[in-house]
Amino acid sequence: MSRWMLVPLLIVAALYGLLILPAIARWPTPRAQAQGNPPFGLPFNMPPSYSTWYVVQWYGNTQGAYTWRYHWYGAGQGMHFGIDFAARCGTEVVSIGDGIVSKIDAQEHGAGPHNLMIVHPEAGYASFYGHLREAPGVFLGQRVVRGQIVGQTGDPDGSCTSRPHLHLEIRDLSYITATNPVPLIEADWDAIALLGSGGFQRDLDHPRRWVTPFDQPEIHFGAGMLNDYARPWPPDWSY
Amino acid sequence: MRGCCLLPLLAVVAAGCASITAGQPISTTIPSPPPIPTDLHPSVAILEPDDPPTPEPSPTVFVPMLRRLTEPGCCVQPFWSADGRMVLFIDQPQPTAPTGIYGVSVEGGEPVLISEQIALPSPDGAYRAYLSDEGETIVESASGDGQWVIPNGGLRVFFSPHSVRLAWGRTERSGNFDQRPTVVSISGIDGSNPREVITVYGGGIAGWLDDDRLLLVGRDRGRSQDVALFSLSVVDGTRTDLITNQRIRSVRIAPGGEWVMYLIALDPDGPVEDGLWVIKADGSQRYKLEVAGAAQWRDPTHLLIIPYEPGAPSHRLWQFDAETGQAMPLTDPAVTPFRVANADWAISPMGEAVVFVNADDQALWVITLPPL
Repeated sequence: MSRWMLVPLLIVAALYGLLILPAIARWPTPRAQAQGNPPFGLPFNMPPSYSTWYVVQWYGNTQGAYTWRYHWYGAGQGMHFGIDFAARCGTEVVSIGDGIVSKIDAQEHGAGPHNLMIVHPEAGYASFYGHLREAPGVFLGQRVVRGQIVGQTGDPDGSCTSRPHLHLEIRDLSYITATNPVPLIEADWDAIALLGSGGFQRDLDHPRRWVTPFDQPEIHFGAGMLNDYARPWPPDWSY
Repeated sequence: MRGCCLLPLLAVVAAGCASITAGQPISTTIPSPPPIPTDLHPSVAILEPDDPPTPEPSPTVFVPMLRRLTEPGCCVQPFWSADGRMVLFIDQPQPTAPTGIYGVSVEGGEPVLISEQIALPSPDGAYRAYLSDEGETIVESASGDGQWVIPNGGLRVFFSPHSVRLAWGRTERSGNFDQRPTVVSISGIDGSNPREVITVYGGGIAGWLDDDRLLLVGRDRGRSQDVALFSLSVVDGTRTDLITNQRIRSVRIAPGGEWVMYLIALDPDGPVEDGLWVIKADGSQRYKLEVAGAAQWRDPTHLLIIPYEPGAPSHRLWQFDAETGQAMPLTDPAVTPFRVANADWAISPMGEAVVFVNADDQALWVITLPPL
């Protein structure tokens, strides 16, 4: 590798060390309380509608996650570790809070073709925007504010007709734990659900657990399955 | 692979039938129902002093009634008994109690265990389907006098309205969702005479219009752009196309199968078609509803809608008449305030009540409806 090829890497490392790590270290612990004062906003500047965006899969113990627990969601304990918002390709995506761009196109997090991570040290979280159509128009270490355009929605199948949507995650600042975005985002979720939502999988050994958009577990990447239920409902129909 | 999956909203169908019958032309000039006014409070007539009061018979005003049926936190995904007298739900009320289907009278009272067997009921309540421990789909009669293994490799089945036939779809597990083929098959209620009837791409089974006709969604070929909503006779193969659009979602068949509701969302050709639609199953009439929200059929011709009104302290119910195109409010937030959690609600079989998960306490509540 030419030493000139190392220059961009060194710049990235320097930015990370100078801007992002100190910011994270400065506010290492507090997480905003979910109740009463959600710290974040929605990832779009326009209201939901059948022509803008709507929810197609909640975070957590969804029926879709159960169906694909050994495939897409195996790394996230079988759960859906974000919220899916259906939107046309090219819909503007905004930062859900003030923060600093910490990762761009981090393929280790999946959710291609492009993705973006923003840390929000004051809130104690990071937000992750997956399935972006193009490389985000921001740079590593850039400070962004809530509502600032940071990307455009895309389609994980690359077609814009298969399943264009934004996959939004909220993680801890070490990126190894995902948490339910619903209580952390200021929105009228019960109204939004009227436009579309999706069902939760039932564990017949714990039929009241993880069956609402607000009641969902934290997900630890790399840990064991949470939803490999002995008695699921709906059952594990063939496909 | 990590990443997220967006499953197709439709569990639907469709078809690449070789003998495609051209769809009936659909009028787009039918006026839409009036938009929902923002103020539903009763208006007050102001009479001038010289106006003599006009005596009118005092109409009987129906006031919908709210009643909590279960304790806070119980439960989700409610449904109704076939006679409409009980609200049913899956629960395990105490750690020592069995998990099963519990029921509570629509009049109130303590929930009781109805059955420890949880299964998919047929629309008429005569049969149920479940997956055996061996991964086979089992259909059995509710009366207990028949049980059959369905030869479909453990797929979910769709009962026809009077439990005459079953349908199922087998979808490829790879490829883009909007291109994946689904092979649709049918059999008798006991799994007899299974046969393939059609293959559709990017869709699947929406349901049965009647015991002889399936409603399907999908493309004819893997590379076709347009998705069709169409009916298919399993008796003679007659196909009737209703509409085509790339983004057909949330298809719901009215009881009796004469009307169908569907959603167009995020149409790549622009927002003109985006919205809730109702269409006659023969394709002769079609309306776009000037409201967004959650919708379910109350009876063969009346659709109930909970409009999307962000920030409103209360949800409300509206009724749309598919025959006349007229819309009317059924509840007034000032009189009957309620909020539905996660769009989790169900209309009783006779259409006289709605059960819903209350957003405030996560309990099941019932709201009575004015008669039709």
